[in-house]
Amino acid sequence: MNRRDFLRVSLLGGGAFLMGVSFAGCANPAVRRMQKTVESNGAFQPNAYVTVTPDDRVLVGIGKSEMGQGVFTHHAMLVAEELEVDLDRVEPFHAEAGPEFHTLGMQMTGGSTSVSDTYEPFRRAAATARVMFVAAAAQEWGCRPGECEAREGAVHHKKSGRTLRYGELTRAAAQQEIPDDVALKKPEDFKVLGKPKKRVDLLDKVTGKAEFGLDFEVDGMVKALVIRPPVIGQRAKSFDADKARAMQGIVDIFAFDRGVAVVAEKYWQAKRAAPHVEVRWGRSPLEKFSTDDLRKAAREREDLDDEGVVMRHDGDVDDAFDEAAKVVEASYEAPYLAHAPLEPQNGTAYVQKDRVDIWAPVQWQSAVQGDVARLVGVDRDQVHVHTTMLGGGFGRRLVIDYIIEAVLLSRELGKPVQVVWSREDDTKGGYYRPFSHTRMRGALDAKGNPTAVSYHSMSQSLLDLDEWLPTMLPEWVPRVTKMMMARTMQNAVDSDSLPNVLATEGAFDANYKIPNWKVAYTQIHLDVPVSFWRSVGHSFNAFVVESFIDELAHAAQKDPYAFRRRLLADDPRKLAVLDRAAKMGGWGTALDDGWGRGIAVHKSFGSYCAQVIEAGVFDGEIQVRRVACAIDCGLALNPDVVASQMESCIAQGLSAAIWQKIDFEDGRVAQANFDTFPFIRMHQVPQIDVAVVDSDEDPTGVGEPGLPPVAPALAGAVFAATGKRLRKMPFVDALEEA
Amino acid sequence: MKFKVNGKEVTVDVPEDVPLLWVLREELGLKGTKFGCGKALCGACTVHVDGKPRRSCVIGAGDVEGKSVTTIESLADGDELHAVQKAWVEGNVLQCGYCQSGQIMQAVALLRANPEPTDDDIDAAMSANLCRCGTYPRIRKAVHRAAELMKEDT
Repeated sequence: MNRRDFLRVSLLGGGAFLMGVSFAGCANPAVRRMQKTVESNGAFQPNAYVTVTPDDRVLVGIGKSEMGQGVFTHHAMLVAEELEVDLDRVEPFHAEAGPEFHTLGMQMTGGSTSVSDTYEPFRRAAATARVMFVAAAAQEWGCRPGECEAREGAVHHKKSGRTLRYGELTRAAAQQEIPDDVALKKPEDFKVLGKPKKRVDLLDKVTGKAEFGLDFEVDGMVKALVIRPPVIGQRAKSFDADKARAMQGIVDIFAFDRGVAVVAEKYWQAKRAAPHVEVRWGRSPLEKFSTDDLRKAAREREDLDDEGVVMRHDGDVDDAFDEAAKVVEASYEAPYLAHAPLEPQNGTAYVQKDRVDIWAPVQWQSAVQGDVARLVGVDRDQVHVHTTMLGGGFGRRLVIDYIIEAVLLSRELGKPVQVVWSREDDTKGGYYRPFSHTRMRGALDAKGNPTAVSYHSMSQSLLDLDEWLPTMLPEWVPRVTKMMMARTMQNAVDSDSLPNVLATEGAFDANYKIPNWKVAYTQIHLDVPVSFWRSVGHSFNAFVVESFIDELAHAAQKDPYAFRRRLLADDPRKLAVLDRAAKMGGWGTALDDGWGRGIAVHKSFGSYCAQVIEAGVFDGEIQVRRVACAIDCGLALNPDVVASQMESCIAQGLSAAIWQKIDFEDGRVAQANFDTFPFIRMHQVPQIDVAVVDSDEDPTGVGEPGLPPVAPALAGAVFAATGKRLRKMPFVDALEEA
Repeated sequence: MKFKVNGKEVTVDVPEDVPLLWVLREELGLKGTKFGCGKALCGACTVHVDGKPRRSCVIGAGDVEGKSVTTIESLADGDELHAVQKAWVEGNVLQCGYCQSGQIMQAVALLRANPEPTDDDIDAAMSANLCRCGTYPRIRKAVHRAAELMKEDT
């Protein structure tokens, strides 16, 4: 029986999926469900996460999305550790979404929280199962549990040497009381955690067997391509599809909210028919919009007296500027950016009378359940979300527009529909990292000590509460109340009275020891859809803050590393990664002509990361030859996966810093595919050395914290090599203007 | 149209210009070959046509008439992985994995033509394959390792 068959059987066998993880003995429904499961198929399932079958398989239900960051591996390791089984034996799978997988009230993968959120619950779930196996064996042998030991997937009686495999104990274990509280291992006793283990998804992914969203298939399914408006927000007024309709395999062609759907039995048939559909488009508020105008407007606005919403003001920056020996001023810019995961957006939906099934690569299962329930008019628990492997996420799959499309089309056709985006749809389809423009001012005293920093940035808000809040609020809040709350809070965001944390993160929480520090934010109101992009506000604020620290160091005629060290004397963890990166990167040692080094350090998602980058500009092109990276993410559950996330962040950070941008021209997105929206390639990637700092602290994020230092460290390197300050991303544009 | 896929003769009834990628995925159910860009810009759809690496998203079905196509599905011999796959596992190379079928097919072709590639050779051969997770340093190491494994085998 393969895994999927097993799950099907267990689902048929009376709802084997326990709703609501409960570890307490008094949880009667949980106990009843556990017993039903064991009666139906002999499997022991004390909670939603851990199932042990009579043939000794350990299935681990995972609610976080595996998008490359290694969550399957980490969760398998957590279970292997506390259940005392070999990691090879653990089989993780994406469990159907449900409240038992909620952390902080929702099921979502983002904010580098996959490990920190589940570090304890998953270990507790596995330890609970282990304790129950031991109790079952002790009962069988008529001894005390203390005389038994669990190891390598079996319970051993220490004195007699008797052994019972977990698989032999599933029925007896399910009769045990679910313990209230189980002791978890101490980090010093870990056998699996903290070791550089192989990923558990390697085999499926090197053989092409892993099932991504686009690989999903269900009986009766049709494929849909959406002809999209040239300008975001336009709707189809009318269309002519007579010729296309007659083509092979076409099921239907019709207009809906998002454009004109071309539905066929096969995607290639829809693709062949689409060019024969003529669409006339309506109007959009974005049709005159160009990024150049936005740039100009932002530059002009910084001269006005508008100081925005003040998020933080230590001391008094105005006084400090009045008394300054030297004032440094600079403006920075970051472009709109697409996420461009390699698997284009796609999703399959099947809308039936009283249930909706979704099979898709998705980062925010709760949003799918909430939004689809609202849209279709079913209850949230009637929306069954089946997460597939994600061919990358990077934040894009937190927005579920592509899934809503599949739902709308399936509702119309009464069939399962898979909607498939092209690469161009993906690049032009919105939910970009927002454009930002930031004005920085800094003051130095006569000795070159920094006395004040003022930060004022302008960007669109990421708090689209109208859209998101109703799906985030607990289920017991009535729908109407949710909408009203969302509207009220959205008004607060729109009026700038709710300070925007996401837009200024990395700046309002910067901890350089500078006595006067001010952070202000002005919201740009535009209809360009924006969203979370790997490391979110940190992705541009670290560039601004760290680059500006370099500028202050330069004005004070100090070394950028030494300058930072003094200002970070109170933050030992930051200082430690800074020192480690400087040492690894050979800070202060001689370099060949034309090359320079830059340094940056930044804390995000609870983790500390510093980088030293070696780069130069040759024949007008930026070349990066080395990145030394030090990361402190608390206890590194799998140091090799941590290192791989740093490598990944560095590749993405370099791509964004050097080449990438999304530009609007007359409302149209100028970029389309990987030729115009490039990503770093094999011959461009530098030597990357990663040091993972030893730590006993609880684990913090790793999927994102490696990205923020990349752009400022690279800008510093280019300055050291050429004397040119790059204050605008992408750097290819800044170099042209410099 | 008749051609060979993974050693077996297949017949498909599609217009000549239908990309081989979609023939493999939708007509033959071979989904290990991935759709990334549709314009031969990312390499996720790399397969071998008569032993040479090709972007199946821009080759029409008509272009492979009578030829022999090899995909990721045929690389392992039952449970025995190909040396390149073994090296990928050893090096903990991949992340999301979406590009890796294409990367592996490209690497197999490179090593067939050049059993001892230098870093520059690898750069030249692998630059057409985009990895959005940025696993390049590990891919480079794994290609060298696969070269060693293949030498040991012979």
